[in-house]
Amino acid sequence: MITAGKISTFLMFVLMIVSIEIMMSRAKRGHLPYVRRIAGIEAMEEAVGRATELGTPVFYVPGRTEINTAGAAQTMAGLEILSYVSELTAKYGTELRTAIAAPNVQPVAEEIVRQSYIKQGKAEAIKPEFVQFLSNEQFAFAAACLDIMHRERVGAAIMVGEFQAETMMLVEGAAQANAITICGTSRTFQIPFFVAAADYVLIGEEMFAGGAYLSKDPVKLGSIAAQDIGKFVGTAFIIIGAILFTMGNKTLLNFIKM
Amino acid sequence: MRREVPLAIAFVTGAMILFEYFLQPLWKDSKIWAQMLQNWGTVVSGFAMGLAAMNLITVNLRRMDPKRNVEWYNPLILLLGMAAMAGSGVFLGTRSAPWQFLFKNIFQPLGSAMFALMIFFIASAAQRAFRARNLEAVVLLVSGIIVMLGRAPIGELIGLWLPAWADWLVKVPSLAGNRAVMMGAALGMVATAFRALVGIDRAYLGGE
Repeated sequence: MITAGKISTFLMFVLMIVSIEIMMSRAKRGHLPYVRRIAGIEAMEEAVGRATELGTPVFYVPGRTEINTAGAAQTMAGLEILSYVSELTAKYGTELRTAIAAPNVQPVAEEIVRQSYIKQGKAEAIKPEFVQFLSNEQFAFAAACLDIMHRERVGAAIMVGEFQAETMMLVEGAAQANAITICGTSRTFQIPFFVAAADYVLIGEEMFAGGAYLSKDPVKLGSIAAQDIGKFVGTAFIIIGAILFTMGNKTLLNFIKM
Repeated sequence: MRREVPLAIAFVTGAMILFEYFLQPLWKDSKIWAQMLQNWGTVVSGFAMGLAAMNLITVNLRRMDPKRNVEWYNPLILLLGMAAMAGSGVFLGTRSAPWQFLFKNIFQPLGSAMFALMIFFIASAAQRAFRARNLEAVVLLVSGIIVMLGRAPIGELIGLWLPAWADWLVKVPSLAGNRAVMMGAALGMVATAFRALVGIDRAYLGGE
């Protein structure tokens, strides 16, 4: 019935979905989960405020991945945070520069920014420069981002999404422009670059929690609590699996391979 | 209806792809349908490329005003380059001599040059990151020195223990940290995808 080799993955997926449903309905009934403080998210208002005081734009990149690929979840997390950041720029009257590398993210990002400005009653302030498609070629995109950051002396640079080798150029370029930098990705190869060069970093799951954390929506917060259940189950699998395998028992290993 | 129809399309498409991935033996034709939906995604992305190109042209035409921008010639060069590349590709084909010339003699060298510049960005970031300001920075500094020396030929000359320490740092604490991040991120992706599938997260509709 289930595709061979995907049985354990399917069971884990179902367990995760059931946990999300349970935790979301608990949250709807008022049992709000505790979500720890995420420094990178809380610094966003400070970053936009700094750019406002300096009279410089806020630079935003929602990753470089298309919305219909394996990295789509990261792009969506980046777009959720863009919604919050653009509301702040609309509220404070700060210029926004959103750099887009994936063509099918362009109309979505434009609509997100438009909705944020309408929500703040600033629809007339929207400019085409707020959301710019630069290039879907990696280093052409990086070069264009560097140009914007240095030419416009951005006061804050926020980059949340999936990034590849251009990571270091973007974050160090922003730091050289004296911008406050907040970055986030779940690509493990790029996290060290962000940690080394950025002021604040959203590591892995933190970027996915960002949208829920900012919206304070109980249903979304409930789904974050379900992630913790998944982590407990995963950790239990690792510990029990390590003990069993050390004792020569391959039951858990065989289950995972099912 | 403006919200409901896209939400329904997103749900049906997502559910179909999931069904095909996990439960294909239940309905053999699901693979054909899933493939078709993915092809439609590619077609929609093609249209999006047109919208993105329009945005690029609009923004750069605005920047070409000499009264507003002293460097008005930069967007002009960009638009000319874009027209030359797109024009030769569309009308003459990507195997034609003009397109190949532009690609091999301008596009590729510029990309390589940008990639090569990365070393300076890494050096500049490392100089800031490796300042021993607090305990975490000291740990980073010491680990970085051990791994860098251990992975370079000079490491073995200093002592055979150095490559061994470097290997341990990479294979034990670093790998454990990486796996923890990957596990958290994977769960976050499932939760985000589920919220999008059932219409709780609507970022892809342009916010809510």
